[in-house]
Amino acid sequence: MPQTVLVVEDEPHIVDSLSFLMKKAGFDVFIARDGDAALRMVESCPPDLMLLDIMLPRRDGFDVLKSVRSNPAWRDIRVILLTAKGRDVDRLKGMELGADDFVTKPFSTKEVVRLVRQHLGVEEKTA
Amino acid sequence: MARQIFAGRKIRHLRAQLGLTQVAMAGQLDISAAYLNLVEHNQRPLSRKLQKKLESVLPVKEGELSGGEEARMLSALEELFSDPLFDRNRPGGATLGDFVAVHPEICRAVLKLYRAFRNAREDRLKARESLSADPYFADTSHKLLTQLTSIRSFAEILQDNDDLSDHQRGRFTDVLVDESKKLTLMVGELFDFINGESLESSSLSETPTDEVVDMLSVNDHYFPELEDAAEQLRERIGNPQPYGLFDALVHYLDEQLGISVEIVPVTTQPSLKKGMWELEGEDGGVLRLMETLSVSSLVFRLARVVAEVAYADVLEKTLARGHVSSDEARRLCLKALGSYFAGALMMPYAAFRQAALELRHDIDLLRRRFRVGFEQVCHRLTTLQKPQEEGVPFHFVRVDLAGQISKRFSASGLRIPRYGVLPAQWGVQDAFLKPGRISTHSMRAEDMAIYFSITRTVTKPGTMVGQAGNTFAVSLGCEVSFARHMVYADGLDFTHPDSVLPPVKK
Repeated sequence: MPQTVLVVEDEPHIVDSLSFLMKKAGFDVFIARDGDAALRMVESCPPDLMLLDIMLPRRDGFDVLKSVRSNPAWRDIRVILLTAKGRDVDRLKGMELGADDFVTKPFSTKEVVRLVRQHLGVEEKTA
Repeated sequence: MARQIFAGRKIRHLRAQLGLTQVAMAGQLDISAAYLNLVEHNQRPLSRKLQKKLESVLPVKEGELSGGEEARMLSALEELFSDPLFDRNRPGGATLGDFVAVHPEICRAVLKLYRAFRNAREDRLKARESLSADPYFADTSHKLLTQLTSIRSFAEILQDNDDLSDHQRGRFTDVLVDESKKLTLMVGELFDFINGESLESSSLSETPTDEVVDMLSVNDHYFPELEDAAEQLRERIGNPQPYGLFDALVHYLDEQLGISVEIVPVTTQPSLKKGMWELEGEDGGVLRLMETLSVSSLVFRLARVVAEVAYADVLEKTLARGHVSSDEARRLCLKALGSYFAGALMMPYAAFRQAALELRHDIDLLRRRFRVGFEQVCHRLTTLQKPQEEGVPFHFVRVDLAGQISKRFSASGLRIPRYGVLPAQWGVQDAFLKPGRISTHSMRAEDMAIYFSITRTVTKPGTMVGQAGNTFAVSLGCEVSFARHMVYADGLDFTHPDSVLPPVKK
């Protein structure tokens, strides 16, 4: 059964591209457009990995991360933060709160796919 | 005790210029060559007697060998070269000393250039801080990154995936075109914002009060025309002693300008038009002054009226050198120039500068010598910027109990905030805890330089019976390399900043 990736991002085109990339890499993809929706989805169907944006409407990425890390049942969910270039403080704060990794916008698509595979223990397909 | 004078380098340089040997010059001075050698190597101070003899032998003006200006310039240059900018090519103290003695004009120019550079560097930092804190800029940066992320992602997907369907390829290409258009619009808006900001900072952000401060600053706080005019008036009224200035000015106003002076009892109703004074009639008339004004304030008002009536053309000519944007700014600038004239009349440049150095800026002693107020002395000290006869470069700031700045002048290089409340770190408001007493304070400013200052309260009298006056705190300070010229800094060790700076609050 394919592993699942939850994309938490409010910008439709970024959701679109990440969703395409994750599906192409062989994962099942769920999408949440804000922090509240992300937590509801984690509760109903915990993913294997979250691609979590920080600047989200209603509840920001840090809040979502804190909630995920405070529930022992969700301890194994991998979290990769999407941070903005030039915001080093966000990266440091996210890692402090328990994120597993981060990618910086504007990110390289190959880098995102590589990181997700690495954290989910999936070998890269060879042509 | 008189200050010891060491002017060895200068004497050596001037002797060499004359082509004299030590033995030959010692002969002319009637001293031994060995003693002259010690003086030239600053191993012996210059006695008053030898100074006089040297002034008759060497091509110098009277007092030029006193070394005061040289020492101040050397301090300023040492501070300049302590800037990290010169980490790799910092000249030694002896080299600097020689250079000051031999090329004072070049040193002055270098100091002026460095002051301008430091101000420009601070302006750039401030602009960067204000831009990064601007909500519009933060929001736009986020949007730009978001659009760039979309464009990069889809461009890479199109490049890396040959197996896309026509529908996918078309959709992803549309995203690229749409996001590129949005990005173009946003960059245009960003340029408009930046241009708008620079336009605003060059004109709209200036208040009339700012224009006064800028006018003073552009002129290095020194107006030779007004100094000359004040000097001319002093001569016309017979060079009175400080305690005779009031009578001399009253007489001049009456005889020459047809203005009679009335000292008005505080019980007079209605109160005077300008609070403490009023002038009735433009050409001739009556100048009424409130009896609660101190003698120094009375003289100051009289002198300002003389400036505005008899020396209006000089004030106008001085103002015409700069640019003022409004009638209000013009009115305030003329008022500031009139006040400058009054200060110059009450504290003549050469005598005041000499006294300031001799008395090591002891404000109370200067007040007594010139019969002026504390604030008037502080203000005048900031104006001692005559080329080649400079005083210590001071800054001056006045705040009310809430910390609101009502006066600011800076020749010291310290950036005084243009708006709002003075930070508590400056220690100025502490003066309110000890009314009437002088407190000292040291601080490290944003430019990392350390400044030493003295602070005291001053109280303006009320205009009615039973009305309390307004109390302000005034602060006079300088960059620490000049602090040794202030009697208040005696005993402080500025070579170890931690010993003079207040502890950091945790």
